[in-house]
Amino acid sequence: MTLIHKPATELQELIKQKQVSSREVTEAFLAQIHLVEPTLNAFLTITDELALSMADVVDEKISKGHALGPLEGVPIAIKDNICTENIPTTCASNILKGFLPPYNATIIETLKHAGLPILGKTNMDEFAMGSSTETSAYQKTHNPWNIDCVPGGSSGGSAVAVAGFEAPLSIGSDTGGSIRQPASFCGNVGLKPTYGRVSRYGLIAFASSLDQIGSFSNNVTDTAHLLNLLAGHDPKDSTSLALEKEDFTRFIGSPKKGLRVGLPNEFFKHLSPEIKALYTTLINKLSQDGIEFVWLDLPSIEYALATYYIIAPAEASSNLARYDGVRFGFRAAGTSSTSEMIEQSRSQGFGAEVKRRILIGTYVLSSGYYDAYYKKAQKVRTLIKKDFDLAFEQVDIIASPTTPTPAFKLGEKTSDPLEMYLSDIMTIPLNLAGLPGLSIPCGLHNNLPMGWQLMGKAFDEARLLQVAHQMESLIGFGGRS
Amino acid sequence: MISHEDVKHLATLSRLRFNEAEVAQYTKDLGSIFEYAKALNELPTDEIAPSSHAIPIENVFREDVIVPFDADALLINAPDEEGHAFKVPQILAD
Repeated sequence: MTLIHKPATELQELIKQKQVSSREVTEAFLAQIHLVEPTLNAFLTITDELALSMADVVDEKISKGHALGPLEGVPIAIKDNICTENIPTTCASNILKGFLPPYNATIIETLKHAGLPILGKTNMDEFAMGSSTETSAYQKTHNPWNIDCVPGGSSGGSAVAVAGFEAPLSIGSDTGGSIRQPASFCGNVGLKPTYGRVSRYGLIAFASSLDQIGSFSNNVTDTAHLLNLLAGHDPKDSTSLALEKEDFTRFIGSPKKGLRVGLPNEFFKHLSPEIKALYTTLINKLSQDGIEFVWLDLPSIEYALATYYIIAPAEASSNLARYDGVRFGFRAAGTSSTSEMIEQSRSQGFGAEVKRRILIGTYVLSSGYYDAYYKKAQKVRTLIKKDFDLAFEQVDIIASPTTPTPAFKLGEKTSDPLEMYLSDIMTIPLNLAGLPGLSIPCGLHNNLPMGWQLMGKAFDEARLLQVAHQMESLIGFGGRS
Repeated sequence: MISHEDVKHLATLSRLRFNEAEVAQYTKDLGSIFEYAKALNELPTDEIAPSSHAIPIENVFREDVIVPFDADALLINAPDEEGHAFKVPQILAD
């Protein structure tokens, strides 16, 4: 097994034992990036020099006999909606072309301090609005399992960076499934932590009550170690919570006894017979291995997608009002007044999907429609949250398919926005409820990976990761050879 | 139902400008999305409180201290500047 095929924790063990240097590990991933990028297009910016200089700092620490922190020396890729000081941060939008943030997001400061060399910035749907990474203004990212297929989205570049062995770890953001859905399509582990667990300072806002930063990796153990670094209170994010520091790896490897896993009927209704058969086989296997499954109802979940497509655009239309061509980003040329400049800059700078969501959001927030749409959706959000609360009185974890289908073909769903939105039907409820969830690979359909979504109680990531690790071991997904 | 006029009005409110083909496309898209969203009316919610967030959010206060910043660093991203200020086209008509 070559370096690039090893999980992050194994790589760090090798670095600690001085079998390889952090520079050698980083160089191996950079070489893979330059080899496969012409095909995969996962990265918008590759930061070779930064990565190598960060690796050298780690190697110097080792040569001086200093102990390394968790994951120190293991490189990582970052989604392009997270601000990196003096490194282009575009949200894959023309309106932020060439934008150089004057500051780092809190998690970037954290990762720099922890010594994880930054390999580059990854492609995404424009402003994280999309489910296939096809709304990027710059390039189409391809799924390494089948390059005719999409990687999922919106964090498609970060999912492909890990699936294509271009990075052992990557950072994404999840507003309605933008980490879990691409993790499912690309066969890796994608975690969305509880809302408030990880600072959003420096994450360019899409829908502020739903956005959360999370990660991609090759296995659950790596995910838990990375969450140890990312989690924590940040005074710069008023929604980040001051919780006691905990070790998210602490239950891993000691299977939970008497585990009860809930299966919501609503999540299994709309599956094709073949996909349903795949999950029935999986559930039967895990039952034989001693996991107790309980079927339950989450009746309001059927309304989650409609609720989401009112709330998220409403928040987006407000958040995206700041792009006016005045202080940063793209400005349209040849305009004679400021109002014309703003209108032209926004019209030329935003792509079609972003404009569509701004229109939806503006509509549901306008007087006369506010109560019928926005307030109604906020009330249904309360019902959805209550359904989860009731379910978690009966079970420890809720499980479902991550997506109704495996990765679809590039171009297949771009003409019908509603059809594209339906690919997030399984992941959206969790964002509305603010709960933690992750996707682990669980099998193949037509040689494409399928994901198994595990959902936990608020701030119960340690338990969620324990169960995910237990199931990951039982499933024994081989990965991509 | 959403009309072409609705979309044109929303465009004005959103500071966006569309040609006729775009207006037609967005009228169609928004129509199908709001048709789908109608399903929410099946749920009785008169007695339900709206949630703006999934977790309880409280206002956070801090001391009002001045943190200096480097104006040059911020102006790096300015589309146009003059004398350490962001420059825009004419605001008031002659």
